[in-house]
Amino acid sequence: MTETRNEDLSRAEREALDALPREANPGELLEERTVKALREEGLLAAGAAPVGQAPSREAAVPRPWWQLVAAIAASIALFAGGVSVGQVLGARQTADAFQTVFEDGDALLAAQVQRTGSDYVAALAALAETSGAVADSSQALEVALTALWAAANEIVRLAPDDVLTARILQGFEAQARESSDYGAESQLLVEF
Amino acid sequence: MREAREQTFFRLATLNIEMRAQAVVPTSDQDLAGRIVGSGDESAFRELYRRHTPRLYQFVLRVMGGDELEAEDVVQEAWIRATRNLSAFRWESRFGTWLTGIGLNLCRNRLRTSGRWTDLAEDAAGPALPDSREARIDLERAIAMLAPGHRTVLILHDIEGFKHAEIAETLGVSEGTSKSQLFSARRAMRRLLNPPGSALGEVR
Repeated sequence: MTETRNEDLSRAEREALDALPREANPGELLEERTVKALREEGLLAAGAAPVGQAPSREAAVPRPWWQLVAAIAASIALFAGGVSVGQVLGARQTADAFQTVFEDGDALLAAQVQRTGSDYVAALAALAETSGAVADSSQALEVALTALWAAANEIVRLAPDDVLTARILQGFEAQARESSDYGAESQLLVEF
Repeated sequence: MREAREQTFFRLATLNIEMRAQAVVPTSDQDLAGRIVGSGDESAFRELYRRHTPRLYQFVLRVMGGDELEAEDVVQEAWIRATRNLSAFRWESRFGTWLTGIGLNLCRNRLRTSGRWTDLAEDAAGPALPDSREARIDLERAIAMLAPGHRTVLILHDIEGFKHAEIAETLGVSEGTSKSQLFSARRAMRRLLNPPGSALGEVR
């Protein structure tokens, strides 16, 4: 640094050069211009306030560790709360949906029974009109009675105290006593 | 009892001194640069900018011959380039020196583009002498009136304190060229400060 610095300079020249200012301020506008250019290039993150203005929240000093921990805990609590509420609402909706399905299912079954009963009655009516021969008639009666017996068995499961159904089944039972071929099945009926 | 009180007082005093010391220790250039590179920390950039810009601006202003608008443009461009290449800076030299080098290269490019810069080895042209009615001019103005090559070497050596080897490396010339340019620059400066016929023979 001093190799030739003073070799050719008079003392007055040296002092004059040393007295020259080493620093000068270009003004705040240049700083703002430079920061803006760096932001536009993506080299600086946006958010800090310009000189003379209050700093924005983003430009605040780094937060202490406990604030970070608290923020994470609050986030987890919020997430867990959201999940719980979602589960409750979801379960309630599912129960409602099931209930609707079951209610709809009962109605559907009732409608199906009604349709089958109507078909049964219609089939019996058609049989009565078309059956001429005795053999055919007894066979048709046998089929019809078997269907009636099966239907009575299902009705007693739905309504065990229904008097009419009980009498129908008692009729079948009495007839079964008279016919040994029918005894095993009637025994099952009584036990049921 | 008294000893315990004295010990407590001593501890408090020591703690106070340590806290004051911690409070006044400035963040290093490297730490600030790390924050800029890591997260684009604007406050870190502003601190680094305010720390180094006054010196950079004064240097650039002199090299550009006192043109304030050009000097501001150069300073802005220097900071943009420095920030862009901050992650590649290896901190083997001082940040201010590196930044000055960037500013100097930008000055040379501008002077060369506008035809004002010539190769130092060829830069033998003397400065235009001031009007004879102005017997003497001040030193700052004399430096501004030097040919750009002469001016740059004189500023680097006599004001900024660079060695000839550093100037040679920075400007891409030999040390001999740097020395001869400095000799010519000083002679030209003296002619400006003490033109022929001047009554006084000293700088002011």
